[in-house]
Amino acid sequence: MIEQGLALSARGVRMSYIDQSSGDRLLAIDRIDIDIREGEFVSIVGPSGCGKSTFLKIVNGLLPSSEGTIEIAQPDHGRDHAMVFQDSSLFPWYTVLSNVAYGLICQGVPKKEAQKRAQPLIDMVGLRGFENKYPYQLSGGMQQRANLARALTVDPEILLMDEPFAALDAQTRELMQAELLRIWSEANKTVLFITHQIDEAIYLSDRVLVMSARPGRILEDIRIDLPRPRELEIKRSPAFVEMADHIWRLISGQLQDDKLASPSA
Amino acid sequence: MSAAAQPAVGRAVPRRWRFPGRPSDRVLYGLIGFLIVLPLWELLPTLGLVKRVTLSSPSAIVSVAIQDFTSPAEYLRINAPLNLSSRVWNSGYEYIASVDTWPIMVPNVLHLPSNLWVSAQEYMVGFLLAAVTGILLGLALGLFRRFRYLVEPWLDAINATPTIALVPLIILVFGIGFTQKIVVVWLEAIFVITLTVLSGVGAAEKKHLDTALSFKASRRLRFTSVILPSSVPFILTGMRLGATRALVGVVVAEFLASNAGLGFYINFSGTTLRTDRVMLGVILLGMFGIIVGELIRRIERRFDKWRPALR
Ligand SMILES: Nc1ncnc2c1ncn2[C@@H]1O[C@H](COP(=O)(O)OP(=O)(O)OP(=O)(O)O)[C@@H](O)[C@H]1O
Ligand SMILES: [Mg+2]
Repeated sequence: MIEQGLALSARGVRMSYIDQSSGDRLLAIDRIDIDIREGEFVSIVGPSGCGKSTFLKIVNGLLPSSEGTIEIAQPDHGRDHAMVFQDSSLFPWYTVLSNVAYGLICQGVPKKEAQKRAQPLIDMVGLRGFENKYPYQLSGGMQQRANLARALTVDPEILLMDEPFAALDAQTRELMQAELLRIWSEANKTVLFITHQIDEAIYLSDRVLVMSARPGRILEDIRIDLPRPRELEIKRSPAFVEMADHIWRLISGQLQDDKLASPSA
Repeated sequence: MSAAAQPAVGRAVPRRWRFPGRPSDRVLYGLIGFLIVLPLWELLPTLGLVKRVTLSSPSAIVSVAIQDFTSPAEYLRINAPLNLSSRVWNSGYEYIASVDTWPIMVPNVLHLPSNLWVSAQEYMVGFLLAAVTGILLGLALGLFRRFRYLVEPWLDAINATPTIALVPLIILVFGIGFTQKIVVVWLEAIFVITLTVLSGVGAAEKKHLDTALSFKASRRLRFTSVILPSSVPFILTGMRLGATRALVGVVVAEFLASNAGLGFYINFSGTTLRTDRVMLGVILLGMFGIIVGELIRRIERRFDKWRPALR
């Protein structure tokens, strides 16, 4: 049973990909320990290919871990977590409305009601008027916003987000960051957020976890003690810049380890 | 300074003027090609450069078309009895009279509307059967791994055999008739549909399947919301390929054993050295194929609303 007050607890999680043809094992993540409290906003940053997406998929139950345990608190209303994928995973054969309502349909909510409940989230991510458009008629940023709305409609206790804003332009990205913070503080959700942008991680999070190059481990767990609500100007404060610099050094140190280039670890 | 030298600011460059109602280049050049080929074709047999039995002329084809489309479906004939026993002989073995001469209707085997209708029936029933069974089989093979392992060797074996080689066997089992034609058309068309749909089931993208799994979609919902829509382009392609194969099936079945249909018409005219009718039959067959292809393209277009790339 998960400890009181924790939303998610990972212990010694390892995971190897096995090459189907050669049988080679590729250790993607190595002994990850993470505790996330209820309502906490935690970001993971790390070099490309270090296993961030892999870890999130294990948490989401899409991949089995080779070793270790993951515990997730079971909320009363059933829905424990929802995932926003790295690349737009909207169904091209559904309209925006059907896409956003999809999570509810999966829970057995009748179509009419699911679409009614999806509408406020479509409004929230600024896609009102695009309900009956197909994904290809949307810009990359709009698709990613629909993606976010789809995850939010099921009212998950934990939001797993894999670089959700990577495809957005700078302005939309900042709007979406502010929107995400608003939802997070209002709805008291737990967020596990993956990003490549160090300043995004610091700006949003209570804690930033820095991962090593593959096989991914947690290098450092950095508490972000900036006051909330945070204004955008905070990104220029000395404390912010100092933390960003520190994280940047950690990650670029990993890159120089040359692990990134060699395919076998 | 003249206005022409300075393009107006903020306005799109005007398109070259075309006179209204002018056909598109595509239609125009298609027509030009036609206008070059047709007279040449007409002249070759007329000038005696090619024998009429080798190459009929367009005018001959048109007139035989009018004849075979408008001639009656049946002819009235007086049936002269050939059977001696039906004649009445007197004791001196003297012929007195035929008692049994009566008029009967005999079918006009060259009547085109009935031949077309026979082929169309064979085609539609055979192809629809192949489409339904092919799509279902393809989906089942894609969804159930063990079923695929069980059935695949047999499918590959039958698919590798030319259908025409199976026709004698089919005739032995089903006799000659409508059923035999349907079986040939069905066999000819089903495999390409099945195999295309099968590859479509495998074409569902991992990220979409992962999305469905992540929302804990039921097995059934995963099928209807991800696998089926992903394979729609493949189902349509399979149908289009199958439609062509079904037409081959009609001709194969009718060439080998039939007394009606477009394939029969072509084969019969060939053996009676009527090149004009042979060419007419081939042209009608081609038009038939084009019409069916266009119908299927219409169906495909209904799915284009989420497939912009193929428009
Ligand atoms: N399906 C797979 N099969 C085999 N190996 C995989 C698979 N997915 C990922 N990997 C490998 O596992 C490692 C981690 O991949 P992962 O996608 O988790 O990285 P990531 O940290 O999310 O990278 P990025 O920041 O670029 O998204 C990579 O080295 C990759 O080569
Ligand atoms: Mg990733």
